[in-house]
Amino acid sequence: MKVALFIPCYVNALYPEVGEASYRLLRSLGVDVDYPLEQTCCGQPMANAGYEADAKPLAKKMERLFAGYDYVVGPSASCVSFVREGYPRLTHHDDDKECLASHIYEICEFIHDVVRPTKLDARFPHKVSLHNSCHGVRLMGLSAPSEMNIPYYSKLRNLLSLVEGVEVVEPERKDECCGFGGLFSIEESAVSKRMAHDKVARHVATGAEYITGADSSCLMNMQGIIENEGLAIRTKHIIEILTAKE
Amino acid sequence: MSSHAGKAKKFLMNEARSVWHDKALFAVREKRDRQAYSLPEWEELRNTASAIKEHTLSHLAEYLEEFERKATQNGIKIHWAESGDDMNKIVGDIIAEKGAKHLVKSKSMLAEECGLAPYLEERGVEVVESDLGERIVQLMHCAPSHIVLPAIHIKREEVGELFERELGTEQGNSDPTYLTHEARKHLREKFMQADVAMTGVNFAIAEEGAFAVCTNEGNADMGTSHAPLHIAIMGLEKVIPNLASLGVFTRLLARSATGQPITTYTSIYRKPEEGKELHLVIVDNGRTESLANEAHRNMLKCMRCGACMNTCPVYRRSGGYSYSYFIPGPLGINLGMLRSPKLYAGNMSGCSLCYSCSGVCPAKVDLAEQIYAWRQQMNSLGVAAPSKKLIVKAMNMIMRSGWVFDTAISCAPYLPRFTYNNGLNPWYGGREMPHFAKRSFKVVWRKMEK
Amino acid sequence: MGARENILRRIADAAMPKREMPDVGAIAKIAFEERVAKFAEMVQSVGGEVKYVDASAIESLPQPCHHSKLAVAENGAVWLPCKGDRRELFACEHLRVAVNAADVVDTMHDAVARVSLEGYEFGVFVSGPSKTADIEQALVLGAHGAMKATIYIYK
Repeated sequence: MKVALFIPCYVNALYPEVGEASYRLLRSLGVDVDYPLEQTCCGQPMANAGYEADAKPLAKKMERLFAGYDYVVGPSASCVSFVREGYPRLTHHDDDKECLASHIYEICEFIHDVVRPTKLDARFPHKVSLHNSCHGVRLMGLSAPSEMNIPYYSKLRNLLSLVEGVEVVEPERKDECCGFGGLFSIEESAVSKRMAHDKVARHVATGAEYITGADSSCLMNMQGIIENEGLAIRTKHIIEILTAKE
Repeated sequence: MSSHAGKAKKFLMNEARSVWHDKALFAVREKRDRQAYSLPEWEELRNTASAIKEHTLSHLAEYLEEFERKATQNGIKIHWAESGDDMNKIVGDIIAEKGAKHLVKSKSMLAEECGLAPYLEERGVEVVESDLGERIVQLMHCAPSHIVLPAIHIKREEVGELFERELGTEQGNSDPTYLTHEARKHLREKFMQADVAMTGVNFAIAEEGAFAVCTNEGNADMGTSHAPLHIAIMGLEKVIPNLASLGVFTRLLARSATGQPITTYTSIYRKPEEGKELHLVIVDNGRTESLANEAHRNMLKCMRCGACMNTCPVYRRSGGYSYSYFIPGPLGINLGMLRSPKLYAGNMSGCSLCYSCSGVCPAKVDLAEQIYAWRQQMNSLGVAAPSKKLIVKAMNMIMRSGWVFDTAISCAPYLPRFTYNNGLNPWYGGREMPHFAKRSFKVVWRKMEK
Repeated sequence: MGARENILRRIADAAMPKREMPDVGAIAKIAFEERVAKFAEMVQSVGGEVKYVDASAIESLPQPCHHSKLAVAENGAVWLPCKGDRRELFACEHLRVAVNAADVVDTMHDAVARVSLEGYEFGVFVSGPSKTADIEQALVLGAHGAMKATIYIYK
């Protein structure tokens, strides 16, 4: 099984530890991992801002870089969901096996649904509050959206249950948006900041030491609030917890 | 700054009010959830409602003609209006012909859309809103800020002061029960005097030639049972095939709107009472244009429950008046764009693409997906924000080349933090900028591979 | 051409691809084991009052009292078809409706299947007393219609 890592642009620049943990986790599960060096950005920020067509060269490049792998796996639900939903439109490969959209996975989804480990060598004796990101929940199905009347499930919680010592809680309004939304966070900065403030406050109210989730972008947004308000809670990408050895 | 962002910022300045607004509306969302979770067939109902609407829209002419034919047999006088102005004129003419002067109306988004009340008032007709929330905003001379809860932005003390001034209620008494019952007395008189009652239409049932109007207060029925003339107005997408369809929609509407199992009154109007008249105006006003718009015709499935507003994290925090279209929230963003991108593109920024609206919609209108689709058209429609264009251009430049990208992210950590973590950056101000890593993942990878 | 013809022509021009009508009867609708008890519970939850009475007492109930032949367990609504003056139904202070327990159905699907408008000008499903929450979402009974609703259930 040949797997390529897709490390989104901002994770590359801001959160290399998330990429590293992704690599280590996949390797520890016996997955052969490669990382095509020329990758940059999937194009989602441009597309959400209304410039999906501008993402076309990036989509073509991604298709080329990731051709020939069985799976492409990335630690960002939002970016992966964009590739999955948007690329068939952009590269006109609707149900072509070659299309990246057909075999790209968010890393938790990949481990949960494809690798399916029954145990992980990880220990993290802390209380963590799950951040159910919008795109992870509503576009990718990482957990049951609160809007729908379907039985509760959470792939993130299932994976965390393999980590020794961790206590998992969810905040009130468990999947309300944190207010990031790409350029939304800048264009509507007043609303965005209030949303982020409210979201962090609800995570704090759980008594958790960490906020964790599958989207570094949401965590980045909330981290900005945490630092500004001098709060004790910290953010940590879920993959870092799945590889923790505390 | 977009018009929405600007007005939202203003609303957010009053933190207490915005927090209260958010909580009040989220409580409605939670009531809706409890109802949705109580029915095992909820998702199946949504699928069915959506399919009925799609079927009806795809046979719209047949259903409208069937409805017209049967309603006419029932003695309802049917009128057709191509535009809002035409509708106003038709309604105005019916009223003038009867010599009517006092109109009581129940809530109708179509009336708001077409500016019916001011039109009639100019012609000397007294228009009294009879829904309590609508009456409050009418007496305050302001617009509704929500389609189902028109006065959700107004505090009880403000209603108390308003009623003290307008209705002579006790000074300083802002108890909702007291105020509601005072409004009841005041509006009773209006119902007794009215010579024409107006209602909207929630569902026009083609097979029966009858139409359903849903209210909690009973104001539509008070009006129509007292006045000798009833005029109903409906957007042409309100037609449904039969009573079986009504069964589906009435199970979804109030549960989605306010978290009630059904509205208090679900009234089906079939024939005018003996000696009375019943008119119904079928209105297009841009709807057929929406029907022809493949990417956005789904908007016509909407049954105006307002659930998308209650769940919208932006609307709850920015308030109804932050939108320039008369309908706020995800619904208003979309309907505004269908009405006029030039006038209403300023609302397009008010969405973080969280997709919650699409998940609560009882008719499965893909509101968020449509906002995304509109954003793709803004540039060609000539309504894109120049600053955003510039940001996207810069991003393109960096991201399209691996070399430029590598250089940019390896230099970024050395940029002095004050150059971007400051007030000129809209991200900042209550929120710190993220920290660039000294070594990017790419650098780390090269090390690990060695 | 008139507005009607213009509108119908524009609808035809829109040429929306035809979609099938779904099978509403195929919905796996909820069924209540204690249907009458559920109905009573829902009447109370929407602000109404329930009284169980003996069938023989129906004629001696306080007047005016309406008789409904159809009630809905899932939402506490009773169906009241009308012909002629119906002001009292809405303007009354206290709405009283008598229902035979045998006429309670589970859902609105079952209810609309039994509705026949033939011979009537109007019909209404009434669920509890008139209400509003337009002032700060505070629930107040008695907005314009009945302040109180009592449902008499008999067997």
